[in-house]
Amino acid sequence: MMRAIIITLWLALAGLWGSDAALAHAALVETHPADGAVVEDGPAAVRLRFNEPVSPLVIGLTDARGRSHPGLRTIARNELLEIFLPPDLPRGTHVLSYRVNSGDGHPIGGAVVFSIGAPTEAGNRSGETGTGEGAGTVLWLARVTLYLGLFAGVGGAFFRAWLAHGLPGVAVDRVLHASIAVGIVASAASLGLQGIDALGGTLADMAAPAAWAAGWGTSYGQTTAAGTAALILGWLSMHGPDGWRRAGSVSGMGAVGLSFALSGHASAADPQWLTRPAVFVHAVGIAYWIGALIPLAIIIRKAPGAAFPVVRRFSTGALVTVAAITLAGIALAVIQVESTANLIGTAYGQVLVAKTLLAGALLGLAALNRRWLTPAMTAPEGSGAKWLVRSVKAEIVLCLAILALVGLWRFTPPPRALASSAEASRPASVHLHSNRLMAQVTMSPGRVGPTRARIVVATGQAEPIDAKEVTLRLARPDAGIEPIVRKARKVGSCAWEVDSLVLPLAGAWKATVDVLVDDFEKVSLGGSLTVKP
Amino acid sequence: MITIHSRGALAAAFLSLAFAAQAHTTLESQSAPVSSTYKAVLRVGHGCEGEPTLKLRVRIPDGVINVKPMPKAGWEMETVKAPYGKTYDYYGTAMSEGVREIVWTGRLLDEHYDEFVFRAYLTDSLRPDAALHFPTVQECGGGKADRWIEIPAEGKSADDYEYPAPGLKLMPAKATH
Repeated sequence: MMRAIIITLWLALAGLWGSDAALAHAALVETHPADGAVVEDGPAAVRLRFNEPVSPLVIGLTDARGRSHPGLRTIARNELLEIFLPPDLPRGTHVLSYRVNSGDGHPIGGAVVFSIGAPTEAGNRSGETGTGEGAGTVLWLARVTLYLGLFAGVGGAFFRAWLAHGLPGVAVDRVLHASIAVGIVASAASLGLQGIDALGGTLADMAAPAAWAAGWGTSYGQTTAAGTAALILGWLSMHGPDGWRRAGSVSGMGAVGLSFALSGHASAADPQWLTRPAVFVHAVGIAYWIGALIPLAIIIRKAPGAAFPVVRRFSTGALVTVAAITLAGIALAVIQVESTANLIGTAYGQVLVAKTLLAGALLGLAALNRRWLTPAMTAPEGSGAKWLVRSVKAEIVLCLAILALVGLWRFTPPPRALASSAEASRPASVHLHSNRLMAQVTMSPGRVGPTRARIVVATGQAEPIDAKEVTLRLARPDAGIEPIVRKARKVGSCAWEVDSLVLPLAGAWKATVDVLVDDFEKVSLGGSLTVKP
Repeated sequence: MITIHSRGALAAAFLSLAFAAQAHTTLESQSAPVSSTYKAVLRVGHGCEGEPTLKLRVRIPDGVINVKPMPKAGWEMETVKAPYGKTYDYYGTAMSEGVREIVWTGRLLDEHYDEFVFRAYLTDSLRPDAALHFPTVQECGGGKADRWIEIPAEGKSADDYEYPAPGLKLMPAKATH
């Protein structure tokens, strides 16, 4: 209780003084991990050693994902402050901000920046870059298998319930059950794989719960949840009365659409009111189409006579479906690719071109089936059914190839995203000046992650000045981050550089440049610098 | 309970303000009239980030003349003389050059306290009610230095700075007899 009261008192005092009134003076002598260090494993605690006893006022951690962890457990022992960190910190750059009260009554603040594994890279948080060695191929495989489960399994269940009900189909049910089962396994596996991808780990890290938690934490977590729900609904809809089968399989299809609309490049694009529904329609349409292929091939081969009305029904629906898939697909492609040059110039565009060619071939086959092969089924003694089966098999192969291509998109950010990341890597800069001096501070790149600051100092009349020392301070008082302080290195007659800098958070940073003009004169220049995400 | 809290806060605030002076390198008497001789006592409360103080350098501002540092046992003392830049009247004598910097060299551990003394004449060229600062550099072991050289900008006080220069408030000259 006493301790709580004391802390409250000091907090009140810290508030009274305001963040600018930095009255000296206990000094930080040493930290572990060192400021700016990159460590292999997340430390359990950060130790700060001061030159005199201190008591903690406000201690907070802003982690690599930009989440803040206030009120960390802290033990103060003489000059040493031990701050216990939350377990399972993600890889990337973390900032520990402290405000302590020294024995002589002054609060002082500062920040220790450290990285686990490697410094945060811009864009890591959206999960679009940085796949660990070896995990990439497995992740791709899991994705494609999940697509198969969703499209062939759940789509197939829909086909069974709505278009081919009443037909005996033990073989069909066996294939559909298998597709769904494999899909569920792939869905679960891809969650863990997504996790190690987000954390930048390797396949071995799949054993750790952290990988799964991280995967769940990304937007892909919702996709797997909806996908698994779709698979389970699909499975259930293959058992029970007709009414249930129909309702279950329609819900399953809805969940397939949701699963795709909830994450991924396309759903993340703006305008969201257009992209998310477009992805939904595209996915449901594909599930309708692909879901029908395997059952059709089996049914036509086994019972050509009974199959004819089924094929007719499917074919009618397919006309609407193909139109919807195409429209939604074109809309998404336009948004993602932005200009025709990107079709050839980017990996994303190349995948899209290949996919469009295959889809064109698929449409050609579908038209062939509808115009000639389906009517030919009714021809007496005709070999129409045999050809239709062959054509449907070819369609299945094409669909597999398309899914395999689409799985590659996981690793190729669309031109839209590339353009915005190029924009983000532009330098951020600010001009600071007083009557006496001025300074130009340029951070390149001007975004979250490792960066380099260049500071050019001149007199108020823009004449060169040979300063003794230049120090850069960066703070985010609104986010509770006390100044990160770095001494600059002289690189030219009036140019200075800070290269071991990692910016953990986007937004407006308060930048202060302290210029030591000579032994007895120091000038501080301040301003605001906007760091892009 | 709230009353106890706020009383405690007040007491704590008071205490810490009283301590504030001890943490910085400051002058003992923080006001003096112009046209008078001022005895400056610089109080050094600690070294730089734990390192012992090896040298203390004091810059004499414009308008302060006839500086006489007090020798200190265990410390070597030297002065840097230079032209004042203008001529001042010192009790009828024109003075145009003198001590502009005092340097004490010795050793003072971080956990010890010491005082450094000099006397100086505050000429009538100084404006009463303004502040006068003696920028001071404390050089320590390990190449570290604490530079008490920040002069508060208009509208700010020494409390707004991390390393304020030791200063005093100038008062109007006393009536001459």
